Amino acid sequence: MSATLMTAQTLNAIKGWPQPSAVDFVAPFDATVGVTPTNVVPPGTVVHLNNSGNYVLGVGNLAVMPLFTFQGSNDPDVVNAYGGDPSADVGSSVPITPSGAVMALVAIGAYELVSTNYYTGGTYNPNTPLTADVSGGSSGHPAGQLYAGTIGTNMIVGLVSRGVTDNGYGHNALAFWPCPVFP
Amino acid sequence: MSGVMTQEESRLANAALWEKLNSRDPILEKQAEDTVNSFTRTRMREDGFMRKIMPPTPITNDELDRSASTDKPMKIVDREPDSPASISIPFATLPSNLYIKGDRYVVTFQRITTPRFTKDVDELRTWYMDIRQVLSDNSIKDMLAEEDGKLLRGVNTALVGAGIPVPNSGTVQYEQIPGGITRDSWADGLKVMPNTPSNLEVHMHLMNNITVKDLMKFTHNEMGGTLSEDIAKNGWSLQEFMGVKLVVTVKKGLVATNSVYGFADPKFIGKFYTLEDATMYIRREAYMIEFFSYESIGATIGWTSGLSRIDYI
Repeated sequence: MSATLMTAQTLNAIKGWPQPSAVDFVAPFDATVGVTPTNVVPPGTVVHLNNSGNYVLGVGNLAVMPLFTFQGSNDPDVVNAYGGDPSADVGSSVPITPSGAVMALVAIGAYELVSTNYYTGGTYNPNTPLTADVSGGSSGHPAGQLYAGTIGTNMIVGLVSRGVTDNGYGHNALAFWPCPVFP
Repeated sequence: MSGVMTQEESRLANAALWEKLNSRDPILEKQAEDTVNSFTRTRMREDGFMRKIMPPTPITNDELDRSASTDKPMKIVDREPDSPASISIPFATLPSNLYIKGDRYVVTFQRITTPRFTKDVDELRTWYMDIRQVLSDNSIKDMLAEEDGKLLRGVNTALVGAGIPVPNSGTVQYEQIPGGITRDSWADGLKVMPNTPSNLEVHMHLMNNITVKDLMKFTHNEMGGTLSEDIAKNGWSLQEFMGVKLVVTVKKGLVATNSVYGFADPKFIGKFYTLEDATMYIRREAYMIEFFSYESIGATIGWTSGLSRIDYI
């Protein structure tokens, strides 16, 4: 697991969550995402479900329901990354828990979110539409990272609310209202 | 587990539980929760095979370990080192050096929960079935399936694959033995685990309710007279066979027919901690009650040499 400060990468809901009836979702990352102890998907990443019901990064120009991951792929309640590979490593241990599932907030839910996983070079005025590339996307942004998109072209995952703000722990984060707008 | 209740006993138990659920007194509502919890936990101990193979240990906040990068709970466990073998040397020389280090493994935790069930309390008035059993059955089945499935996914990962040596031990711990279950093949299966350098013996066998019936095929000569006669009369009832405890499950989706898993004594397998054991949450809003069960658990196989799997093909 990386030594990242636990407050540096976060998804926070400043309005509307948690509540028992919230539209959250639980699934693992698809194997094609290639999550490893060093290839970490941080909290606040945009994902969608593939045909296997697993998360894949970003939305690109696909007409899919966006979700925003709450845990990092290396969080201890998602993965026990300490054991090694029992098929290759001597002395490895094998975790029985956890199961690799990550909770994500669905874009159709009623909340205002704040994510640290956004492109810091962009301009984010209120109502700016946001999108996130799929893996291998052409924009040059890392897959699943929020950036300003174009309505009608990109799958829009939300609209900027109060712009770049503090995530509550001194780190910049982007505040937005999830709102799927299909291309 | 409590014995089978008569219909009248169930009605009395239901009436007592219903009165508590129907009251506006938080103390009585808590008593209703405790009543179901006690029932649920007993059933979980009896019905889940993971809890027989790796008995859970409650863990307190003081026993948890902390990390600078997360506030999620974890427990670091020391593993007994495998010290290198001694060697014979001539005079006029000294032993080679080994700077002492020791491996550890980590147990991380997660929550298992059932769906949130809802019911109108007035509809419970008419039930003759034991409500505690209905509530807990809904909870137990799925939670135990999740626990047991996790254990076997971990075991199958640890054993790597049929006929493939496990790097930890350098020996094959998952073997396929042709010819089905016979006294000879069963005894050969018992050799797989102690064949590792750790020399652990099989303490418990896990198989499904179809596979166990092949043990009844042992002939009079293989089984011995009295036992053979008893099995012919009464069917299989042994809890232990060839000095190994038997755990028989109906979960054929998890334990395939003709597969027999071997487990060493629990202390040689790993750790299974409960941060919070199975707990039933019950809440009443007006005339609707909602309930769900949850538990927070963590488990890791710390030493893979205490595992084996035999497929009798």
